[in-house]
Amino acid sequence: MIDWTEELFMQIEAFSRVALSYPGIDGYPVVLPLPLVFDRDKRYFILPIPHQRPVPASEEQVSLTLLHYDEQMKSERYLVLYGHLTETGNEWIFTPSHVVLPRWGRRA
Amino acid sequence: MNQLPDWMYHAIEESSTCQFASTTVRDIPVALPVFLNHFDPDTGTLIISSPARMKRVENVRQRPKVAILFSPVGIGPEEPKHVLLVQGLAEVDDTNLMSGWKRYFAGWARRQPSARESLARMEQVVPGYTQRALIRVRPTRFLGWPDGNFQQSPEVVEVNQ
Repeated sequence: MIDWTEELFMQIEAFSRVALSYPGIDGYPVVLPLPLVFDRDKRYFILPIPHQRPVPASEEQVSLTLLHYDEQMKSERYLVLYGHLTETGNEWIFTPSHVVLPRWGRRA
Repeated sequence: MNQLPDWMYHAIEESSTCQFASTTVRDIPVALPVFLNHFDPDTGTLIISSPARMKRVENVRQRPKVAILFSPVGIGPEEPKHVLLVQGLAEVDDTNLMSGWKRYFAGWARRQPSARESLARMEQVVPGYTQRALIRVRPTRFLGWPDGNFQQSPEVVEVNQ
């Protein structure tokens, strides 16, 4: 469960893009860079489905990494969300179920 | 290794950060930003380093199928828009956590010049930061979308192991 605080909303909205990760059918991870569109009211992400992309082996074993490049530090800030995908026409809906704050030694 | 299109070499060599995806114990791939330390254009081997305590290292040991994504990070309009996904088999080299990774540090520092000064500070903030394992990735497949155009089929280069 995610504690949807205003602070978390603000953190999410401070990122500029996402990397969607899912398992491919041959067991290798697939990672795709996508624009960040977050629906604050519905608490999910709307991701354009690339026309030509490797097929997901699962829509349940999915993570979304929110990213923002810090020009001054020449590095990236990130936030990881676990959840599931739902395909709706030309879009995926990514509904997060778990958030991992980037604290040393916690996850990943 | 098969010859890659020139733009794929450039996408790797000119990258700043990239996203390294390993698979967690719950079989969920997760991608985190890293700095590529080294790329051998002849063999295709890619090397990153990672604090030995990070779960990424154990993920790779247990589930060696990984992926690395090279894509624009948003540093400006002149940045190439190419997207390159490298899938491969990784192995952990933790034989010399103290200094084994330093052989490849130049590649990291080229991408993040401040790393030369920040390592000591990071070790204070994050104990174990400079106890780093090497992760070597032998590519099995390169999937590339020139100019990041996902409306086109990716250029695929399979690698004979």
